[in-house]
Amino acid sequence: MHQPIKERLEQYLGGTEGAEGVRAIESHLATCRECALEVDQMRRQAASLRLLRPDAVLEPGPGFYARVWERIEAQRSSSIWNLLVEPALAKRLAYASLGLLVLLSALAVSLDTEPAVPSTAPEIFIIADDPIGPPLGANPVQDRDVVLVNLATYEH
Amino acid sequence: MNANGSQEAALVRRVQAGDERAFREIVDRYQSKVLSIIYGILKNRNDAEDIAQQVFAKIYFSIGSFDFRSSLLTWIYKITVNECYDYLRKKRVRKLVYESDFTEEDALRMMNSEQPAEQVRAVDTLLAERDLVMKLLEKISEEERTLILLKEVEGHSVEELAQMTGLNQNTIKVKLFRARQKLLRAAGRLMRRRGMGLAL
Repeated sequence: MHQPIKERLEQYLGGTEGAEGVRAIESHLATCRECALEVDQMRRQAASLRLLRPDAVLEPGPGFYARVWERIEAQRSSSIWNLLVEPALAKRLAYASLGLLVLLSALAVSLDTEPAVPSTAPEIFIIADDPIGPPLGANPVQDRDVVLVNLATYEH
Repeated sequence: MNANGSQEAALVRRVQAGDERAFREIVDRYQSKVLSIIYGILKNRNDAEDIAQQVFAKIYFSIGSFDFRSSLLTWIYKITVNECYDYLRKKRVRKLVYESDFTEEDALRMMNSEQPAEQVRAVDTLLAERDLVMKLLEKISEEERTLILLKEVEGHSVEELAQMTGLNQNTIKVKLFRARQKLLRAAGRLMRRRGMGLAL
């Protein structure tokens, strides 16, 4: 469509273009087949759109506001539950729960497989530090046993 | 912003602050307009009030996001048209919805309306044409749809649309022209698919 027609199209279709403008547009349309066809289609399109004009002004029935408010209250109270069943959030919750489950399982497995602290170590230290035990040098065989036990259970 | 605009802005701010009386004022002010828009689009009195209730519930829950760039009416108009489309989508079989919900009283009223072009059209042709218009309007953006409906259905001028939307007049003209072209292209595609001549 040519620019001069495009610029005045809304006024022309709406019937608000001045007489001089209408004459100028129509003389162009008489010689330009492309513009004439498009303007004609748009005029028919505008008429079709006007079919959606209401042919009556409707008034709501009594108690309309009360019904609107009831609907608002109902939607407000259900919104928290809707949030939980909302697909995107439900998916995220499922992923988060799964992640937590994997984390807890891994933690449980790692605790099970950790090497146990030798329960004899304190006893060995007690033997080694036992003040009432026989002093070193009294019995060479016993001395050797004490040294071997200390070496075998030595820890940093 | 004019006096009406600033009053309207004050009213919206009161609703945004949680003032229920201000919300009631909005409902009182726009209920008839909303109902008429819905009835114009769906030609179904039975469901119009139910959809209008849902429109006002939507307004209540989303008014916090109203940014004052457009007029309140433009914003409400957009919500109302979207709600009509939601209703149609829920019904799924659009053609059947129109035909079953369109009463004889509605048909007579439409035939006797003031527009001379409508008087000579048969009711079934009108139904098919309205059906087509609604389908085509789904093919353009929400903004384009609101603008072209405000222009053709509500009868607002380009100057009024500029005031209502906060856009300048040239932008309005460009957007309307693009919307009209898109509608024509969509109509052409639809007619080719149906093997019909271009009726719109």
